[in-house]
Amino acid sequence: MHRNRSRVDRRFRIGLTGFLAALALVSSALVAGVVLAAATDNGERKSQLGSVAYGPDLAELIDAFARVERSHDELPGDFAAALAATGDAQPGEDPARSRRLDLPGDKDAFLWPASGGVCYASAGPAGCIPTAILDANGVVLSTSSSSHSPTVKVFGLAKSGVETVELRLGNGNPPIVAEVSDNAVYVELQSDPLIAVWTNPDGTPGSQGGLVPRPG
Amino acid sequence: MRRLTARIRARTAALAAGAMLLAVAPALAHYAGFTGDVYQDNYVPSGQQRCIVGSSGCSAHSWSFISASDIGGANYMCSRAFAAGNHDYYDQHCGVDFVRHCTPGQNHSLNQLDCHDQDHNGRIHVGAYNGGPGTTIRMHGGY
Repeated sequence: MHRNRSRVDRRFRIGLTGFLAALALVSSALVAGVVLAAATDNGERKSQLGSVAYGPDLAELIDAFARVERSHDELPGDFAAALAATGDAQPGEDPARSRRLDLPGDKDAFLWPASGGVCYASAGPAGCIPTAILDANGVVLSTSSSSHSPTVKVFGLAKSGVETVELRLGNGNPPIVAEVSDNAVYVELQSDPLIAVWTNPDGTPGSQGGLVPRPG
Repeated sequence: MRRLTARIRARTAALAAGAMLLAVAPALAHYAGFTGDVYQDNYVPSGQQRCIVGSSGCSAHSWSFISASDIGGANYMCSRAFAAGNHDYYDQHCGVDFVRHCTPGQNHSLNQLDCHDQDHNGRIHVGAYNGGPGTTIRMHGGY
């Protein structure tokens, strides 16, 4: 009887040890999972909700954020209600601190800060990009296009010091050279751009291709 | 011998449980994401629906507003709108990391956020294209 109990005790201890080992591994796995998830999914960046100062990096990259706010810098429309309705405000996104960019041809666009990024709305594309990518690439382009019109709207944000962006077209026509105005370019093309090229402030070349991927 | 066998079994089971969780846990943050040209999205806020165009077609709802976010990296990608009736491709907005757009002619202002609430025939279904190295896109239909 005593021997049996001892055997049971031993099995219980072995089981308990196994359970505790499993628990430790589970905890480690979950911690590893959370860390990996944050690293691979930008989880940290995506979870930093709340208004934050946009800091000197954005003001260094884009002159509009270094100047005093003007009355017509305000983003049109009820952006607060719209952001609340969509539920997809980006971390730290703050349209109340928008800047209006004056573009050639009486066009304009708006920028506003986000945590580690900048959001934009043009007559075509809209979205948010990480400032680190703008800093590294010099120019970041976005496009809007459709199946029912040949027009491709191109909006590009350029860090201070980039002067022009050349858009090479898919129809064989001469490239379009867009002057950077107020850190931005906005162009409406009648052909898909194949690639955009520019010269960075330090003299290095920059480029961005694959701007208009077509379905099918 | 029996004790040794029992001990080995217990430790093997413990290690197997831990290893299984190690393999599964990193995927949790992807919201069981998909990779490929068109993504579906499991990010569904409480009380809302999403209509996603994917390989299996589209379900029950339509939207005027789309956003798409690359939650696996900051790649060039597009939010895509498809016709609500036949799912034909309609238009797209492409950019790095995060794009949003409103069905053409449906925004109240230059602000793409400020979009009509399905008060027009141009209602759309939602899809996305990922120009990056195959990371998870979080698609979002709104209004």
